[in-house]
Order: sequence, then structure tokens, then C-alpha cells
Amino acid sequence: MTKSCIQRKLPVESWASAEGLAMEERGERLRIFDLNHENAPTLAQITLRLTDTKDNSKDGVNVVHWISDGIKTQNEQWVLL
Amino acid sequence: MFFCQLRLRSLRSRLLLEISKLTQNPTDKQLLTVARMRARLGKQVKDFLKAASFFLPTLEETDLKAFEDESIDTPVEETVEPEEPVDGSLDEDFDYEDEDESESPCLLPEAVILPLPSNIISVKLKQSLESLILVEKELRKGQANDALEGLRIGLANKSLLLLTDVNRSTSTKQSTRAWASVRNAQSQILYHASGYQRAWQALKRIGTDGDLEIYQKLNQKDLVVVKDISMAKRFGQGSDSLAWFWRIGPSKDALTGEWMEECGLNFSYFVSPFSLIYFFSLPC
Repeated sequence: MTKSCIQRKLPVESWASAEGLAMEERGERLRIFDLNHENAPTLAQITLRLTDTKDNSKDGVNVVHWISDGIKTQNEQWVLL
Repeated sequence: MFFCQLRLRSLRSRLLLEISKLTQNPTDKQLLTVARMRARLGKQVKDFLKAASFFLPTLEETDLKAFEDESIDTPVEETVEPEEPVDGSLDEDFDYEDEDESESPCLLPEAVILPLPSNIISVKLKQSLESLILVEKELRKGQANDALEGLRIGLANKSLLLLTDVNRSTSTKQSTRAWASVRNAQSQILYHASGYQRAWQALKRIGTDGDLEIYQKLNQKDLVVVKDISMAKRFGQGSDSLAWFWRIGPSKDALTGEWMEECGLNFSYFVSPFSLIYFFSLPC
């Protein structure tokens, strides 16, 4: 595997030195083993982002909340259908 | 907190099952639960329609069109039969005979087509609703992401239950409980699959081609258990591949290019079924 990584010009040496440091010093250095994982944004996160960035209110009713409520109501409708 | 959400989803699935059983011999308690749900839904629909007047022009009945009914079910070979055998199709059984005669089906809150931008088919109106469409498109992506996450968890849960509880059960009592858990997981899977379908149908109407490349159509064959969990080391494992929603994320070029040079592994929107094994093995 190392050979294959070197062939693809991946920074194997820096990975190996970072691993060595992590095994010796532990603590924060161990973070190199963490998976930099990014989750897909949820409905709640998107609703919050849109609410923060846009002011689409009309007569005190926010369009983002209105559509979000509509989606939730549609889900509830499906349960009863 | 996550387990609370999972429990809530599971309760909703159970409620769905209760509703589908109603026509057999509904108890007063069951009928009351449904009546309360319907009343609550009626209020939600009423509030939504009231607020719609702020954002939408007056709509004709022909301006709206509901999503096509594309029901999805567990693949036949993996279906777990309900605990109590049901005579005939549930859909055929379901009618409104026992309900108040003054209340016609078209007035039921669940039958109302909500004037969401994705339900508006009038070309003239659509042009004036650009900003609303953009908002709904983003929210539908969130709905799809939530549904896919639930679907992945449900499928991994079912796979693990088959591997552990069902396989290891040594008595009738244990086996009954194990299969009840599997049925519950199956209900959750169908609930999330249906949620994804609604989001996908909305994106099909208001989304771009790029959106539909990421969020693909969900097929019945995609709802299979993760055999790498339930049947590890099986014959033909090497040629098997997971459904598209397990591999949703950046292109191959992105993974082998800059991503790897950052001296770390980056996976975007990528969930391995094995990462969920550890999760489910944690004590409640």
C-alpha cells in the first residue's frame, strides 16, 4: 500500500512522521487519525442558514418558516393518507 | 439525544402501522388517536393556507398538482410479514365508511394539495415565484439528506439485528422479540424512503439537473439490508455493490486529488455501514 501511495506521489513521508509524533506525544497529535468527515446539511441546518441570511418576511411571516412548515405538514399528511 | 430522535421516528412508524390496521377492528382508543391527529393536521393546513396569502397570488384549482403516487416497498425477499396476518391489501381495505358522513374525503386535511411552489404547475405563476422556488429547493435538499440519513441508519440497524438478535436467539421469546425489532426497523426504513421520495419528486419539479445527479431516484432494490454486515464473507461478496446513497459524495477526482494531499482523509457526505455498527453496539 505504501508503494502504491508513493507511486501516486502522495505525501507518505509527512504522514509517517505525523504518525510517529502522534504515537510519541499523544494528546492533540492524535487528531491526525480523526476522519475529517463532513455531514450533509440537515433540514434544520438549512432552515437556520436561510433564516439567518435572508429576510423574506412579509407581514411578520417568514417565507423560510412558511415553506418549512409546509414540508412538515406534507409529511404529516402522508402519515394519515 | 439521537436515540430519542430514533425512538420518536420509531413511534411514528408504529403509529403509521396502527393507522393501516384500523379497518380490521379499530378500538375506540385507536380511532381517538387518529381523530386527534387529523384535527391537529387540519389546524396545520389551515395555518399554512392562511400564511400562503402573504406570498402567493390567488390560485385556481388547476394551478396545483400533487406529486404522483409512487409507493415504495421493501424487496419481496426481505419483507418481514406483520405480526398479525392482514386479509387483503390494506389500501383496498381503507375506506371512509365509518367516518362522519357529512365529512367528504375531499375535505379531509390529508387530501388537501398544499400550495407549495413545487406543487404549482402554472408556468405563468412560476416565473413570479423564483425566490420561493429557490428557498424550497434548498429545504427539499435538507429533507432529502435527513431522509437518506434515516434510511442508512434503518438499513444498518436492520442488518445488525438480523446478524445479532435474530441469529443468536435461542428461545421463542427471544426470537419473537428479535423479529419485532426487525419489523420496527423495516417500518422506519419505509417511512424514510417515503420521505425521500417526496423530496425527490419536489426536486424533480423545481431542481436542476445537477441536483438530480446527486439525489437519484430511490428504487425498491435499494432498500436491501447491508449484506456486508448481515452476511459477511459470503460467496460473490466481491462483485456486490452498495446502493447509490451509501456512496453519495465528491467525485473520484476530488477524492484522489487535493483531498489526499491535505495529509488526512476527507469524506464528504460519505457514510460507511461499518461506522454504524459501532454506533448501534453502544449501550442505550
